[in-house]
Amino acid sequence: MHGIRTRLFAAILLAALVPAVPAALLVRDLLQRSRDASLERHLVDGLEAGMEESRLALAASREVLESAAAELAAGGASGVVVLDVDGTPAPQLVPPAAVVDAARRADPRSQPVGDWLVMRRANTDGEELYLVQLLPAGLADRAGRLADALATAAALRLDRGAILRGYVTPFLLIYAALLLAALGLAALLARGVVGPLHATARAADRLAAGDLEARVEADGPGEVGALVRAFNGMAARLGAQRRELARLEKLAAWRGMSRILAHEIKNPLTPILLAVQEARGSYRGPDMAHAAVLADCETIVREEVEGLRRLVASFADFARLPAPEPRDDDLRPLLDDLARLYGDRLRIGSLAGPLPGRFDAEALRRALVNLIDNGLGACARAGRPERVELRAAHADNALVVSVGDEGDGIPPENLERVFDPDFSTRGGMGLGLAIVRGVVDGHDGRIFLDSQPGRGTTVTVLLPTPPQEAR
Amino acid sequence: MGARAILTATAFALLLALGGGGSARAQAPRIIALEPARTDSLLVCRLRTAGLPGPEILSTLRSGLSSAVDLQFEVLDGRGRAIDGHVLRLRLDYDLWDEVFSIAQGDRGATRLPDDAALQAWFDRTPWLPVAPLAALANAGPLRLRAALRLHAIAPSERERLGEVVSGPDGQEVSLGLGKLIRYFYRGGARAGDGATADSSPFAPGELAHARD
Repeated sequence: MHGIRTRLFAAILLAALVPAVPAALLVRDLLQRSRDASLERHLVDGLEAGMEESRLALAASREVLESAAAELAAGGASGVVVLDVDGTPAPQLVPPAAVVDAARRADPRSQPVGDWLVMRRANTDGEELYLVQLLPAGLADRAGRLADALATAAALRLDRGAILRGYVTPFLLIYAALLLAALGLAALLARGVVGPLHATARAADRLAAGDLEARVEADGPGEVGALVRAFNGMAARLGAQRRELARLEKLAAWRGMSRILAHEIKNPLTPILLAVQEARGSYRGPDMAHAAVLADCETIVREEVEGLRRLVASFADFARLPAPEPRDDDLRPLLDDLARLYGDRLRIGSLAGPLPGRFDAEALRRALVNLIDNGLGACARAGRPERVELRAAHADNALVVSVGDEGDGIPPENLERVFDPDFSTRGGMGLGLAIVRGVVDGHDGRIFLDSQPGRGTTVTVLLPTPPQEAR
Repeated sequence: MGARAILTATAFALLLALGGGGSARAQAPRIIALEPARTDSLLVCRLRTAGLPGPEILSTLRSGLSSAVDLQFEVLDGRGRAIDGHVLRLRLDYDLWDEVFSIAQGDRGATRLPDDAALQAWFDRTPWLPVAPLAALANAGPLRLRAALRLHAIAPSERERLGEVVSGPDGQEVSLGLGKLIRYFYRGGARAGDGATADSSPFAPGELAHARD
């Protein structure tokens, strides 16, 4: 089993790992290409060339501004003076307040602020002159974008290790999560498949060791579940067959013994009875007391001999119990016969009319008599009126006959054994229900026992009755 | 090559590595002195440093990326407990177009510095930097000032911007996208940079001189 689990794990692990290798190579290659492309020297050279052009344009604007500033300072201009791109005063232009503020704080060296170039200087009278000159359209924006691009390129060049980790770590994490999920799935699958197989193997070992109750509790998917169910069914059938075999062996042994006992006991009974009768009849003396003793002895011996004869008859019945020969018949005459035999003590609870079935009337009569006698005895032991109810009906291709009483019932712990030949709680040999069981088995029928101690017992017999056309 | 030769070579390599480390340490930034002073309402401080901004930051700045220097000031009482403090982040930039450096303190306007020398001079003797309100320290006994600086070759704000460049724009996505994951694990320039710490001599807030340039 461990081999299967290991192979299952290995297969899933392999299935998860194998695609990872090309994926990792692919990702690495993509990253490499992406990084290389972004760091192509000529691209950076191009950016730097663009930046140099922007610097030259800025320098040109500075020259224009400084020239205009010198001229304005010489002319005694002061305060804020706004200039156009070409350095001419442009009072119609209104720079943002932040730009003007920057001009007031500016150095003599001009500085770009947004789309403007600002500087501060003193005029010839020592007064402050703040110059704000418009830069060529788009110059500041282009310079800013070039600076950003150059900075980004520099970062990519300087920080390639961190960037690679930034890509690889999430990839590894995602992959690790997928791998864990795959392993978890593999474990679940392995448990779902291997668990029931383990349980089946253990149950098979127990079954082989003689434990006929061994069953597999676990279920599994697909074929494994089918295997488990098949095993449980097989074990159940095996157990039933083993128990039936044991019962039949026991029955056969009891029959053999019953035959011997019947023979050995029956033979001396008649001579014993005759001898006692002879002893009593041969006394002609005057001693009346002695004659009375002899009469009592004869009575006792005769009663006991009769008892032994009944026992012998019971043994003989059990030993000679012929195999039933079921044939199409009507149960009604048998019920009428039993009603006559038992009178008020038996109540027939079936509907009027014929009750056709397939049974051996003689054998069934023997079984029902035993059941009725047992029921009457149970009523007597319970101190209730001796009354038994017999019901008969058809159900699902079977003739159902039940015999119920309100007697003392059977304790639950004895229900399993009451059909054994040697089991009796009443001091007898307990052959009655064994005979019943033999008759029912001879009809391929089934027998059920429903009993509640102190409240009564109902024995139900199902005799299969195939449809007419099937017979 | 025998075992003795291997051992000798290893020892030599170790010595070289230690020597290299030593030279690296020699270039590490240092705080030479702290000068606490006061304004009308603030305890301020001026730093004298060496080794700043350093070649790595200069190189980063000249490539167009921003750097940062974190300055943490702590006011310590007589038992060495911090009773007040302030963290100041200086953002360093180099304008690739205008070719000037600039240093910005938080939301304040940037100071423009035309070249490396001016930048180094700024760090050699910084302007007065705010530390803590004086009102909270008025009744305190002798105090000391502790300054700790840490360099970020690539400023955290720059790193966030680069994270977006590396992983793509974030947008308004609520779910955990691959871009967010990549940005989370991208730690460009997040390496803890060089740092230095220094303490001032004890001083009484009331006896401090007024800050003058």
